[in-house]
Amino acid sequence: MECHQAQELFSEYIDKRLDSMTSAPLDAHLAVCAECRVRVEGLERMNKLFAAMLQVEPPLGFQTRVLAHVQEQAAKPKLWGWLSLPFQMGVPIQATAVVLVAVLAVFLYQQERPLEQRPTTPVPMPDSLASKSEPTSAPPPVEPARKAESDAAPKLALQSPRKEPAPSLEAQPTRPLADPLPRKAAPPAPSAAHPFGVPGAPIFENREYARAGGEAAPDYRLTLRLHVQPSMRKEEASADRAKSLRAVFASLSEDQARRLDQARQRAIESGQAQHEVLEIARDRYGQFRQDLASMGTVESVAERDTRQAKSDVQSSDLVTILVTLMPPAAPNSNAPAQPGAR
Amino acid sequence: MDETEALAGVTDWDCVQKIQKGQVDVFEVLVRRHQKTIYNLVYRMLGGNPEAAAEVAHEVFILAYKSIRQFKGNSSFKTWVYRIAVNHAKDARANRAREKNIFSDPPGDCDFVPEIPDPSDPEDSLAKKEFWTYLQAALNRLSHEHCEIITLITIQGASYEDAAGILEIPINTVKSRLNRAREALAKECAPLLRAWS
Repeated sequence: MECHQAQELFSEYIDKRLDSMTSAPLDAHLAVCAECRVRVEGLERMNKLFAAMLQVEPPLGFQTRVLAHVQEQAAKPKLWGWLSLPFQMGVPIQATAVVLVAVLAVFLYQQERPLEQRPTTPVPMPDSLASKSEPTSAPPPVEPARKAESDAAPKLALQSPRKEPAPSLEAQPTRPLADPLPRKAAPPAPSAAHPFGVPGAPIFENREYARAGGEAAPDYRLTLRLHVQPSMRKEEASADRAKSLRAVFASLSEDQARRLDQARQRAIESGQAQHEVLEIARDRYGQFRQDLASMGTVESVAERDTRQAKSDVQSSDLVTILVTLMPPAAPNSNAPAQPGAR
Repeated sequence: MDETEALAGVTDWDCVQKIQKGQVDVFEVLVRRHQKTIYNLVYRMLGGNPEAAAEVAHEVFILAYKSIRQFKGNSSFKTWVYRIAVNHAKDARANRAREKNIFSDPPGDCDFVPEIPDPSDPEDSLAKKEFWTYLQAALNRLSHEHCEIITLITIQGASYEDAAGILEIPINTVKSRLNRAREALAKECAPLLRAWS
């Protein structure tokens, strides 16, 4: 075996995928070729290092935000429902045509509304979607073997990372492929180190960096019925608002206070509940409850039973609070101005 | 036991069918099962940037939900959503590279070699952080194809067959591409490998 032939097999050799008939000549070559031997040993070491790279946790609130967005998508009226409405009402055909064009324009506008203008959490979450405890570590059941053709993945026309993509949902023509997932036996159970279930031999103990605490249930769930706010003139809005936020929300950082205020505005303007997840020190929770009184009335509070001994609780521990902001109950003539006047 | 707990033993395909029939809440099960692997996949491909990874991973799940009626079960749900993630990360990586040129910058010090940290060191120790940063930087300097295949197979632990299905390439292409990717990565980590030997 020549060196260039041996080098083509290095990856499979490292991953122990070679059968005895193929590995024997490679082993013989490595026994006599020091250069190839050094190269493959270096590749093996490097592979082990990268295989031991930690699996990081998604940021706090990731699952909640995804599911809230999914609920928003699910709540959008379907196109056919809009289009068939005039016929159901018995409207004459000419008027129906005018109505259909108007409805289609509204529907397309809603589809194309930029990402920044969409509320992040516009609909109340059913209890089943509220953040729960850590996901189960049990592997999902093994699925039966599938056919040879693969499902086409929807493509994106992504202009920039900040812009909402326009997915193309047309199916690509299938082509005959060997089954990409041959199933000779049940796959090994996935582990925290190797999600695909390949047993690894990490060099380092495999704990996460844990940038955030992962997707745990919130410690507190507050529902706040917003007060009616007096309208503010446009030129007063931004300067006074920033000052008043800092004064009112002493328990929050500037960014948190701003996010909460934005959620409050969205709730008032859209008439739909908004959710915000905040993380503060435990000893600031009491102050936070008092600060909320300036925005509205707390209608309900739920506290997670952690079964943690009081002696283990530190005042500096962080607590996660899920705040649901409900729009004011009564119609008001003093609501803040429309979005363009913010 | 609520519905999502009751679905813990249900396959991805069964969950998809329920969602296609209108049981939107079931999508939570799929998100829970795959969020960490999807997040890590895009995290590694986007240079270890947590904000970019969170944004892209979020969009992957939303696109998966919007397209779920087109999913026929001819491949596993995991393969399908990974395919979306890989395609999306590729676009995001190209956009970020154009905007910030972060993937073509040379390393600050080509000869800097971090120490191999002790396995007993805590995860937030400086030695481990420097080491992981070094490895991520080496990964960033690879071409997109090489970064993609190293992330899938070496870091995420996918089999060659899984990778072939996700990337929609023949398995022989997986083998040759992985070989070249590992050679390229070895060049990027040459100072480290020299210090070791």
